[in-house]
Amino acid sequence: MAVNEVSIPFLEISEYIPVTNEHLVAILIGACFGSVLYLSGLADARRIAGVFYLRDLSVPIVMFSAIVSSMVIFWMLMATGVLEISEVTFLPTYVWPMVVGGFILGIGMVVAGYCPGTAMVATMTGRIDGFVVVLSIMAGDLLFGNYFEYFSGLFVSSRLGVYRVHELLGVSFGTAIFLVIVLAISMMASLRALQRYFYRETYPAQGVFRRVDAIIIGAAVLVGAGCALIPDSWYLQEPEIDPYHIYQIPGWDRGPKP
Amino acid sequence: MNMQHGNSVTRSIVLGFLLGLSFVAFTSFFSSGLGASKAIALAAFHIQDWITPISEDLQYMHYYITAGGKDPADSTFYSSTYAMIGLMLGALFTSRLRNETKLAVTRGPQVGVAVRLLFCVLGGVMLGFASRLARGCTSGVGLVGGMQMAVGAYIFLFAAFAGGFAAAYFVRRQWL
Repeated sequence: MAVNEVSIPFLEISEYIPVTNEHLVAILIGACFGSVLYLSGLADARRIAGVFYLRDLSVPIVMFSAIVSSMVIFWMLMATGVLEISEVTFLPTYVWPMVVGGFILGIGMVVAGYCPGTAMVATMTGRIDGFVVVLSIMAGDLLFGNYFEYFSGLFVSSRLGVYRVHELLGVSFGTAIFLVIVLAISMMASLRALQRYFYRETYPAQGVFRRVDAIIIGAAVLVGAGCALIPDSWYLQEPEIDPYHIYQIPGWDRGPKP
Repeated sequence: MNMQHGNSVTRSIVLGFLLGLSFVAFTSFFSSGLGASKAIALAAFHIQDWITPISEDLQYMHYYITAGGKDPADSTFYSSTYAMIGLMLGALFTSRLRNETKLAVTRGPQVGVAVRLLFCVLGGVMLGFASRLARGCTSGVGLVGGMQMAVGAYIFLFAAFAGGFAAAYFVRRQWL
């Protein structure tokens, strides 16, 4: 499913405004993304920082829910042949850059109270701190870009290429999907349990999950169990001849899969 | 602090599902992940290029300002920039609809505006640097990578939570 197959005839305005149908689709999807981030309350720095004091768990719950639902839908599209592996750019795994980058990003999140996407959302709702964070993110980008020679060694180190969870665990692809769902649910439950433990007086009568949440979670486990029954050859239809890469500078991500 | 109670777990799960749908839609149309940091980085690099042109020696930024050697009209390289324009419009529209747009500085009860903005600068520089090093931010690497079952995405998410919980104690005066 390539983007040029999308046609919005009544919006053929690209002659006058440099916005094509493809761009319009991107803008619409982005608008959905921004609205959801805003409605989940992620435009409030206190709520994002509140995660790390276990005061407000909406951020991790939104994140786990997004990962699980998108993962199931995405791989179902692959299994049914709507999407093909060669049409998607997969994220390559670099162990140390992602450990170090993730750790610094986590510190930045609790210090600034935003991550890059939510800082943009906060800016648009008139939060001055969000705007300051966006400008500082640009400064951080320029720091990395201008002094890249000092970080390039780390940046390209420990490359594993496209390396998926099932390869790491040595299980079938469907089982890996099921395990990721179970992991997300158990993370959610343990964060809720910790929250109840530390803020006992705030949540006196509540269980870890309410009944309606338990139904949704049960459904997710069932879907995961269903995914586990589908053979690998449905998910990963083509043999992986070429590594899928994000950056195509020679020497960065080229070469056979290690 | 807006405490979590009532049915907000259900609400978060449903909103997360909608977020997941937008990731799947974006990846199926544009092949790349829906990331926020790439658009910000592109803007920053283009601003620097506009002030002092970036030479080929600055390999990393040169790659970005030349659209990765692709045709700049190729919709996939700048697709995340258009998605971020959409994100800003969507956020503006929704917050206007709910009548919650106002000029303010979000801060904890114990800090002044100046201290809060100083922390914003510090944290923002870390966010920008870390998102370039890790090849994306929470949405691009963490969520879309997680969707693609990339091991790196889960490593990234665990590291981010570890960093956040590790630093939370030291900045507690800012929030609590």
